[in-house]
Amino acid sequence: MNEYAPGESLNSNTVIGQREYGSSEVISTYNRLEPRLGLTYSWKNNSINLGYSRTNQYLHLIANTALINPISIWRGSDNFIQPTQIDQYSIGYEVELKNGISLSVESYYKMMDNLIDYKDAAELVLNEELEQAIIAGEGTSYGFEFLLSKPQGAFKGWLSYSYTRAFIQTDDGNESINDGERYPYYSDRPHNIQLNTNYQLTKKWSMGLNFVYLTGAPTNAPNQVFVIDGITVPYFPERNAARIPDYHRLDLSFTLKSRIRKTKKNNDRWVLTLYNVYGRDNASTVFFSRGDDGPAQPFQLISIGSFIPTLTYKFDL
Amino acid sequence: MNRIKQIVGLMIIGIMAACVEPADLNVSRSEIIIVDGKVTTQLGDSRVILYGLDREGIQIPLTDYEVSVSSSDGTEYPFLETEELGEYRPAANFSGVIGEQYRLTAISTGGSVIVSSFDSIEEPNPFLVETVDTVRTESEEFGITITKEAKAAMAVFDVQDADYLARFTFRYVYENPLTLTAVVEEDTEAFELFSCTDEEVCQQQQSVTLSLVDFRDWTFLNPDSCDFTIDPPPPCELPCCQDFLDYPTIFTIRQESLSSGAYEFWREVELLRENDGLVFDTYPFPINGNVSCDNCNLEVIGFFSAVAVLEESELVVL
Repeated sequence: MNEYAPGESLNSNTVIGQREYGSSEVISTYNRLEPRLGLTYSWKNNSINLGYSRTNQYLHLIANTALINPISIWRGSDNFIQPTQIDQYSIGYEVELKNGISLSVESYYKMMDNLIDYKDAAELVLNEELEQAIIAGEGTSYGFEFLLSKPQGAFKGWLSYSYTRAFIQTDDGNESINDGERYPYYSDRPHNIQLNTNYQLTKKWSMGLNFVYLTGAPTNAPNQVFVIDGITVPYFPERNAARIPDYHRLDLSFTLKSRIRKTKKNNDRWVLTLYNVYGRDNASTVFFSRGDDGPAQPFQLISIGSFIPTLTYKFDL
Repeated sequence: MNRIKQIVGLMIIGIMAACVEPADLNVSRSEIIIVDGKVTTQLGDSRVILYGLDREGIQIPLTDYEVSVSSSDGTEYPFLETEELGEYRPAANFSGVIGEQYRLTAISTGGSVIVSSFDSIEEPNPFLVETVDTVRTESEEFGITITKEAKAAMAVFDVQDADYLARFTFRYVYENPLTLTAVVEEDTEAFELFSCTDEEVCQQQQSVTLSLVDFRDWTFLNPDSCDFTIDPPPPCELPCCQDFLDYPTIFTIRQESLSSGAYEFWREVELLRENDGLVFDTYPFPINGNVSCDNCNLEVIGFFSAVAVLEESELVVL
């Protein structure tokens, strides 16, 4: 492994030597406490929860989502990459309403230290000196979640909405991203709506509905193209300043109890599922590619962007 | 390693191609000011171009700026706006001096001041132009056998000193035998960077290979009669016309010696332009230049460079 000049950023110019480690020799050790605290106060059908936890993440996910095939690299903590430490504070309220309906609201605030992101112009794939391509920063995440559920009855289901934000700020004194200003982390997707319902139409027929909405993930897009000395150059402003298109999808299902097998405990049923009813072209990732001339244009990789009906026969043995 | 990366990247592109479509990101554009300035050792070659980009991406030249280039000893060289709006050239005969440093100052009528950091003109390295026969193909077209030949132009040099940084561009000129006019072909979007910072490596013979070129242009042939469609036709018929098309061509390679700051800027440009959505792309980033403006209400980006220019040519007959 490389050895770098103390106090300097990790790059090819600050390598001062190499150190060899023997087989099974320990490279680095981290011993961390992970305290937890949870308090619940209940009265009648209500409860309030307070929580605090400290966790450490020794395995880091380094994702580059600006490609046709997003690359995620897992890297363990070592002498260059310290574990990510996460302190989370949460408060929640739950209440049981009439007719078996329950409502819960929870809010959280999370602070992260040594959160990893890649430097500008970093090469991640097949990079044997990955420590030169990444930088550690401080992360902040907060939000609230709302959940309404009705688990029983002819009409049952649940509706959830969450608003969450995640930011990172990287400035290690030598290098920074976005001039040290905080920017959205790749997991920052503020609005998340999920609706899942099932209605028993008759004794034989039931109908289900599933709807998902998710704000598009942050990405990098050039918002200008300029020419300098005859060379066309794409201009990318701040890190993660753009977003891929929002994800949303509606699925319907129709279930018919079957009497094909005339057995006592017959739970056989036909299920017709209509996946992505309105054929939404949901982008899983956005990347930029140049044609023969001109600047790079955005393209999106579609994950199952069409209406798909399926018919299933389910039975229990 | 690069070849492996390309192959793997193309395989993944092929697999994913069926699920890819253009995306509408609805990105709001930034209004920015671009500074494209250069001082060279060639007379008449120095110029500064100032323009802005609005929210529609339209170029707006910045006019009526007070532009000057100053050297490290404080000497100021005023630049005046030409007929081309936004373009400023030296008021008097001016060319940069090797070893000297220069910086740009541009002041708008509203008092905004754009400045660059000093950039130094580095000693260039002499080089030779060599051409290499690369591909020779034969094909049947218009009932005759046509031979096509492509050549690559190379800049070959011996680097004696360490820390040699340069940028190469390339053009070729030939005379169209039918219209008897010079045709200048220049791939304005292509350049090659050369970096040599290791003394041992620098002392070995180095080369930079530039564009492959195929000079054959058969579009003016009438395939039915093999007569030329342009009037008057040349005084021969194929296959002797094939000899007629062996016209001489001049390859010219231009070298600009770069400071370390200029090299880093062009290296960043190269990285941004090389990205093509494949798995081995570097992550996009905001490019850093060497210009700034304290009291502009828009972001100013670009680069002001001071370079030594060497051009070498070679005559080639295909």
